Order: sequence, then C-alpha cells, then structure tokens
Amino acid sequence: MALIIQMLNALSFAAILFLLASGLCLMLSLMNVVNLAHGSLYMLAGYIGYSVGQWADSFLMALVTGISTTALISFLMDRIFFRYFKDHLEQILLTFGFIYIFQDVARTLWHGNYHFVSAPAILSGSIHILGAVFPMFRLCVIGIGVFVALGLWLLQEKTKIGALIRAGVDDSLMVQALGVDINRIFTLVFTMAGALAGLSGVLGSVLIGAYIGADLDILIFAVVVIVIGGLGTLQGAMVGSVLIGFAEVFGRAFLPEFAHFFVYGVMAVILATRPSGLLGRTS
Amino acid sequence: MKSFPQRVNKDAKRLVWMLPYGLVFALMVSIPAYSSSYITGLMLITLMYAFGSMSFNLLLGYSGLLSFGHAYAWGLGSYTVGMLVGKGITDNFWLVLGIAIFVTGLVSAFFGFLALRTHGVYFSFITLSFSELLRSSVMKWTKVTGGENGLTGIRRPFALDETSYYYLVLVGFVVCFFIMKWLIASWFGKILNGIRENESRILMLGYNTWVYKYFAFIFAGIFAAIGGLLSAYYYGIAAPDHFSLLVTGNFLLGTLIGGKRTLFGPVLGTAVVVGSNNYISTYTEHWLLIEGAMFILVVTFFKKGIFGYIQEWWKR
Repeated sequence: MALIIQMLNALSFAAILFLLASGLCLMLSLMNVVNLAHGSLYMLAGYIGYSVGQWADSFLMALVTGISTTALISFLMDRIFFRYFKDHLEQILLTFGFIYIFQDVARTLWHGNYHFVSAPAILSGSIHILGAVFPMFRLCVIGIGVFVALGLWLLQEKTKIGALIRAGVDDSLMVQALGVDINRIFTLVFTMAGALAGLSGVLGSVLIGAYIGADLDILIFAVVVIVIGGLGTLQGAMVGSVLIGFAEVFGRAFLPEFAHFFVYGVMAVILATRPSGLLGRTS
Repeated sequence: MKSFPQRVNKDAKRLVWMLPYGLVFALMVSIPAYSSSYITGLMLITLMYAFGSMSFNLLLGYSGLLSFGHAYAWGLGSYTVGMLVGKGITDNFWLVLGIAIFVTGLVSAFFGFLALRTHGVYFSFITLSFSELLRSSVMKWTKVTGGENGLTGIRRPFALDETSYYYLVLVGFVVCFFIMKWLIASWFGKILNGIRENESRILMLGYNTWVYKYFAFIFAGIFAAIGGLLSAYYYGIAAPDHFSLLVTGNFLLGTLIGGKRTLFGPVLGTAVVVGSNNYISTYTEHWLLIEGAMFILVVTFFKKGIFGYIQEWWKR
C-alpha cells in the first residue's frame, strides 16, 4: 500500500521533471542553446501562480498566468539574447546572469518566503480504487505529464513543424538553405519550452512549493535527467525523468540521509557504462 | 646590425613585464602597514578566492573545460578543516593541508574519471551535479557534517591574528602562483593549450589527450581546495554554501573580468568581484541583481577581460 503511494509520488515528480527537462532538451538539441535560467522560470511560475491563485482564488487563473508569463520571458530571451549568442560558454554565462537576476526579483517580490500554490477544490480530494486511496491531484499531474509527452511526440513525429524541428536538429544550415526561416521555428520552440517550464512550475509548486533555491534544485535534477537520457531525444528525457523520479522519491522514503546518493548513483553508473546517455546518439 | 636594437627592445619589454610583478608584490606586502583592517580583509578574501579562480582558469582558459561545479574542491578543502580542526582531532596546519590535498586529489580523480568521459556542455552539467551531490550530502548528513549549520569552532593555525594570517596566505599564494606559472609555461601547459585549440590534432600527434585533461582536472581541484581550506580557517566555519553554484559563479566572473587565459587576470578579476560585492552590499540589498547584470554586461561588451585587452594593446 505504502509502496503504491510512493510509486505515485515518484511518477508525479517524474512528470514535473519531464515537463521541465523536455524543454531544456529541445533547446539544447535543436538550437544548441544551453539555458540554465530554465529552472528560474520554474521558480517564477511557482511564485506567480501562488500570488495569482491567492488574488483571484482560481487555480486555472494561476496556471494560465504562470504559463503565459514564462512563455513571454522565454520568447523575449530568444529574441533579445540567444539569437546573438551562439557560443555555449557565452550562453552559460548569460543565463547564469539571469539566474542571479530572477533570484533577486523573487527575493524582492516574495521576500524569500516558502509558498504553496493551492490545488483546485475539485482535485484536492482523493479517490478510492480497490481499497487504496489516491490523491486526485497527483493522478492529474501524472495525466498531464503523459498527455504532454504524447503531444510532444505527435508534434515531433507527425506534423510538418515537427519534421522541420527534426531536420533542424540534424542540419540547421541545410534547412535554411531550403528556404525555411529557422529563426521562427527557434522562437516557437523557445516559447513552447518556456510555457512547459511555467506549467511545470505551477504544478510543482502545488506539490513541492515555491522557494528561493527551487530554481537551482530543479535545474540540477533536470540536468541530471538530460545527462542520463542522452543528447537530444525526447524519449531520453522521458526515461531519465522516470528513473530520477523513482530514485529521488524512493531514496528519500527509505534512506533519507543519503537520498541524493540514489540520484547521483544512478547517474554515475550510467555515465560509467554509457557516456552518451541511455538513449543518446553516439556521435 | 639590425638585430641588436630589436634585442634590446625585447629585453626592455621583458623588464617592463617583470616590473608589475614586483610592484604588485611590494603593494601586497605593505598593505597591512598603511591601510585599514577593512582593506586588508578584502585583500585576504581576494587572495583566497584567487586560488579558486586561477585553478578555474587553468581548466577554462587553458584546457577549454568549463567545470561548472568547481566549488566541489573549495568545499572539500573547507570541510577537511571543519572535520579535523573544528572537531578537535588535530591542530597541526601542515597535517590538515596534507590531508586536504590527499582527499581532494582522490575525489577529483574519481569525479574526473566520470566527468571526462563526456564533452562540452555535458562536462559542465556533470561537474555541476557533483558539487550539488556534495552540497546536499553535507546538508543531510547532520550527525557528521553539522547539516545546514556547518562545522564551527575552527581556530586559525599557529593562533595567528588577522595581519599575520594575511602574510601566511600571501606566502602560500605567491608559491602557488609561481607553481601555476611554471606549469602553464611547461610542456604540460602547452599540450593543454593545444587540446583547447584542436583536440583531434593533438590526438593525431600521438598524445593521450585524456590523461592531460585528467591531470589538469585533479591539479585544479587541489589548487582550489587550498583556497577553501584557507577560507575555512579565516572565517572559522565550513558551511554547505561552500559547495554552492554561487561560489563557482564567483570564480567564473573573476576569471572573465580579469581575462581568461592570462595568468594574472583571474587574480585581478577576483579583486574586482570581491571589492564590488562588498561595496554594493553596503548600499543595497540587490547585489544579486547587480552581479547578474555584471555577467550579462561582461559577456556582451567585455569578452576578453582586463588583461586580455591589455595584452592585445601590448602586442600592437
């Protein structure tokens, strides 16, 4: 029984990780952009979701505001900065600067307090299946994770935009030569990644809470997910999220003092055996 | 006949290059004599952080490896002091130094083995996760590491006061500075340079580039650990924050402002970062905002750093 609840916790954490890591992964593989400020978007969305949720007393409003704010920030960052910074080192420094700035913004506006976004009333209960009690909201988060994963997969495999994205991953110069404005696709992916970070942030702040430092905590998890999953594949991000979700939640439940060793242990083993990640392409 | 004046010119140039070293050294020695203890304190902090930025520069500037978790070594040095001195196991400075070097060397050997299996941005990601692993471990393992409060009760070696401790750090810094200078000018440093420029070409020449990067990683770790050790003695505490990304951020910003791939640049850059941090934090709480803006401005308008631009101007 406790095991099933822990599995549910692990899966819901995995869903939140996937929402964040998939965006990071898309930006890295398609546009070769390292965006370390992605975790900061998560934190901002959590805080904004909290404030709007308090003010409007509506979870839906919180979700919409959180998502649209981070999507807008991501859009602006692409238009103003990433278009002109093509070097990894420069991007890392630039986004590192943004981490500082967003943290300062959060400190100023929310005074560094710990806040939870309150779950919508309909989903705050739990349901009984076969005698076991399942919290509705966690089930819902898992559902959203699966839904987004499916949506992204369909987008990537079945639509024309997805075909262009895949072509861009392989050879963006050739795509441009064929008369496609790759910058518009880049902006689209960037905005989408920002929106996913916002979704992840609002949902995550219901479960884990929004706090100063959440930006780096979640960023590092997302980074480990990408390292484990391998370069530039959505499937990799998916497998990585589930693995890390389980490692983190079960580690915390059974050996709380050494919880993180599970996460990093999984990473060390995978790196030692498969340096390019589980599903990474060997180049 | 033509070569004579050119040769004089070259020697004169070399002399002019040596002059700043002497001047800076004289300045550093005399600082406690004529300036306030506040300035001496800032210089002391600069020197300690300079260990971190100089070793960071060895990896980033010379070998082209962006270690985003370089604070792991800083923290290891600091926690060695906390474990040995803070818990009253030993007061012997040299023993603590030796153990810190040994432990950091061992841990770096393990981390480097895993991290150097990857390239580019993945290397940065993995080193970042290593430093976070250590940070979260010392936070959670409260019984041994004191958890969030860290380890306190560290007394300075030989019961030195602040001024004498400054001289101890200065001597250590000068020794390490010249070891670094020698290392970079050596065969080893030249190959690291080559690896950064074009790794496959160095491979083709028959060098095992992995081994060179591996030893650079271990050496840089030990170097940063000495800085962490000195800072733990100075502040009297080893805290989980010593492993944080913000420490690496200070190394990074110092290296970039001073000019990467120059020997003295990171030291000067660290002085700028330490000085401005202290200055800003007396006027406003928003030092994070300003430091973040500094990152963005440096990347956008000041790519080569102070010494990078001086070198460029000198070569004209």
